[in-house]
Amino acid sequence: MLRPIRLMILAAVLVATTAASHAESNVASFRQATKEDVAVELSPEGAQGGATQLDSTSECVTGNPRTPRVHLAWALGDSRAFASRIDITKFREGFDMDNYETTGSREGDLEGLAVDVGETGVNYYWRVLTETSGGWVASDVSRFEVPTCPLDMPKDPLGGPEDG
Amino acid sequence: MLDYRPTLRFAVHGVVLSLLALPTFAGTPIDVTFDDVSPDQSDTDPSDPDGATGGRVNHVAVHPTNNQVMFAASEWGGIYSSTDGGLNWGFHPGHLPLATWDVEFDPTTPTRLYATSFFDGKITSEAGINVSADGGVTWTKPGTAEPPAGFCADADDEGEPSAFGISIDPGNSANVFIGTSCGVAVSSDSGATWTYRDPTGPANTGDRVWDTLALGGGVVHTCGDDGHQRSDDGGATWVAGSGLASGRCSLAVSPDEPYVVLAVVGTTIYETTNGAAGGGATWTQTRSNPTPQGRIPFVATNQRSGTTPDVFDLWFGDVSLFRVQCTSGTSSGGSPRCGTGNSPAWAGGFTRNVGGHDDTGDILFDSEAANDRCPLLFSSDGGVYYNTDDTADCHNPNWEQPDVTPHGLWPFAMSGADQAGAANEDLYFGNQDNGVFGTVDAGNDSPSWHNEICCDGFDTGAESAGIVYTICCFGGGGRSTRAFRGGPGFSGVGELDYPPSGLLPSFEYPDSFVSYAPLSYVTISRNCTVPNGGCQSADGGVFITTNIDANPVVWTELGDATEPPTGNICGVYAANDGTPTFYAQTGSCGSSGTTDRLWRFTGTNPNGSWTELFLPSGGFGVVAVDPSDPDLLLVSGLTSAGGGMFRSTDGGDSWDSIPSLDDLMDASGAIEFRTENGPSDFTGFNGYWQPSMVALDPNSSLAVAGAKDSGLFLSLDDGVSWSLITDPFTSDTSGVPHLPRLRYAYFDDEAGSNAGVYVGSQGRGIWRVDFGFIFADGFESGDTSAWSNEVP
Repeated sequence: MLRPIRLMILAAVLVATTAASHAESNVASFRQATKEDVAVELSPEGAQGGATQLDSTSECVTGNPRTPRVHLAWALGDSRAFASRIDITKFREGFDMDNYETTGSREGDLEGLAVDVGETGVNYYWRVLTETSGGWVASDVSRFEVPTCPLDMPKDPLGGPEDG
Repeated sequence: MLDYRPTLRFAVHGVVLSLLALPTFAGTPIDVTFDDVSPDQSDTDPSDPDGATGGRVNHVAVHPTNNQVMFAASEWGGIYSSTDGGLNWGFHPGHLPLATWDVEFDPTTPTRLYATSFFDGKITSEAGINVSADGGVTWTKPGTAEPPAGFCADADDEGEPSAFGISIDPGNSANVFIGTSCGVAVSSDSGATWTYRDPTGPANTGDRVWDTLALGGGVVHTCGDDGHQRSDDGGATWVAGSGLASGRCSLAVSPDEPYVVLAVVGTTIYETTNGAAGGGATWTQTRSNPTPQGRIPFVATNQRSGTTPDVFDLWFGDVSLFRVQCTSGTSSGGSPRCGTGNSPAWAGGFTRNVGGHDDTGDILFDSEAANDRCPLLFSSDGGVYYNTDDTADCHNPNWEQPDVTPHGLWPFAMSGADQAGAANEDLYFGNQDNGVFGTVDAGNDSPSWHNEICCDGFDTGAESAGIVYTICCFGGGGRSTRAFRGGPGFSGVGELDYPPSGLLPSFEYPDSFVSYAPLSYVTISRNCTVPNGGCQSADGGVFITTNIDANPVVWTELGDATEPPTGNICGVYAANDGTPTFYAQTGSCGSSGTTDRLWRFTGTNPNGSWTELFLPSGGFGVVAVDPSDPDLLLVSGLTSAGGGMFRSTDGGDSWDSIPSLDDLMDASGAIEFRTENGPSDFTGFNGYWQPSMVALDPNSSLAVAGAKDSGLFLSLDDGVSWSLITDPFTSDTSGVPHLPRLRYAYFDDEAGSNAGVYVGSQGRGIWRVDFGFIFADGFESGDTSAWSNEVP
């Protein structure tokens, strides 16, 4: 019996679509996929217009120790796509067993996402669903690892909290 | 001219070990002596064990019948062992790979050991799986320990092997299972030969397996990038479990029920009570993690006795170390044996409050006891700590640092300052999670180190009047990284106000405070978001002060209108020939990527302009400027395919390649200049470029360069020609050390003493390198015109 897993998604920020500059725009949140999300009818495998070139880079956020951030990027297979959603799971079998989180359908910026993810050392599987005139098209599944961003706290001479 | 004493030898700790390929200049061999001067202990440990000297140790092992003999696999510094219960630790030069992960004894033939390591950069790699048949003195890598062609999920892992968790069949020690970057390596002949298995089946390719758990009778569990897999036939076929996340992980089994398996993946604790189910185990998240995210969490179990039903302890380590008693069942299935959430409550944490360093790695139990085995030793970011409690209460351990720890330090900063007298040299260095150290007698055979403060020491800057250092990470709403100023040897230390705009870069190798004249410093800050991390004002920049001891310190920003993009500024370098000149680097400062940029600023007029510099090809990597000659620079240039080393004598307006140094960096083709999946900081596998450090002596024509894997190189002619002075290939037999991931150099220019340099190695700590010759004149005067490029 699988227990629903809540990913530690702290925040997600859609960013602009140019490769050279990922300017921040609006904010999205991941949530556990619902029956409605799972029920989205996908175009047959191999359908045109799905996202390609899924890529991820990661960093530790400057000034915010213990905060990893992963930048997800992809290319649209159909420039006329008008919506997308990003699905994410930390289980290898997550998509097969409908155990994943999703942004839900989004309009607008369609080729980049920066995700502050809470669980270091975990590999997340992710995919992009793109809504085209031919229906929803799923990308291949890709994977990224959340980096370790240590926080080593001295005993604070100013009286602040301390831990490891 | 140089006064050269032609004694031909290599030595470590002053003892002549052997003659090998001596570096030569102008046809004359150089006499080079190496001394490991890393501290053995932390004097901060008694008040705060997060001050430490060991560097991170990932996993440890204890001799199956002699609880005084232990081995440790350090994160970046190789294999260490102790024969006195963990009080004194010594380096094992016979194990050549230095980025190690696990080590285990053969339980029936304890002279046989297995060790695993991450890729070592070599075309014919020694890394991955190593086996010793002589108690760890010598090690071999069996030919079949290399993954077969086409087997790896990531093709780059095929030539860049790494290996992880080791497990030995408790019923037949000839059967050994090791997780690798390409599936599971299985041996049925005590490590003589290996067969690679992919738990996801022959239709797939082998992915990363982080841990293995052999239970006897052919049963073996694995976890890693493919989640949980189990084989019941010694690895021939596998069945997948469900509900266990994918990623870095650790496995342990109940001593009472072989179908009860505990795991941690990422920072989440899982348990299965049907681990032997034919259709695959079902995992659930069970206990809460009291202190998530130190470095690399682990689980371990320990049989307890005297109660019905049977009980055992689950030990869990992340930031801190915890124990909980688990109650065994009688058949497969049912509720988690170790509880859920915080019920039963964790005992602990058993680290910083009981003498041990946070950010755990592994734990050892007394191998000479059958049940209720006392915890003997645990490992962490601070090295190893032994339990001083051997009574019945030993399960509430009290830890103590060894008398001589492993010297596996990971420096993040190093600076020095000249003082009169051969012994009186000020030397400071900061470390990943071992704090900031300093000494005022670095020239002594055994410098008297002081560990000023724990944690992450990102920057040091020094001149004869004192020290500036930074420490991360403070809470309480202020800046997470703070700067401090004190006199030599940390006298009178107080917090230093650094520029209010932006925040200091963190986890970058170049020091963010550089002294360019007495009491004069330059520093950088990176753009930030108010109020994150104590950010007071968003815009970063490059700032100078001419009096670091003023109260308040007055900081002047240089060229704000034309400044480099301070959103990712990472390094600053300074030179002064009467007119201060500053160089600022943006990007990753050589750690990753090929898009680093470099700028120059001449003078101290805040309205001056920054000028961007360009290499013939690639982005900037490591950078050095001669502190007394602003026009002389040494850098690496990085491209996606590789890159090379460059030298400029006109302040970066033009560049010459350095073929002799390029050839040394890749060991004439024997080492990859650019690795694809080589180990990167904090257990990443992002690959790297070889150049890790360049430095120019302000008082002479000496220069040094360092590499991740290919060694330390010396130039006597301001970086034109170079020679290798360490031994990256045969250090086990030559006696000449291999110093990996060299990050820092500080030249010790003392009139009347041999020329030398202190270097900081990520993994092997701080070394003094004596070049064996004396500069006859001009050393202290700074009169570089007196120097010759030739050894007489």
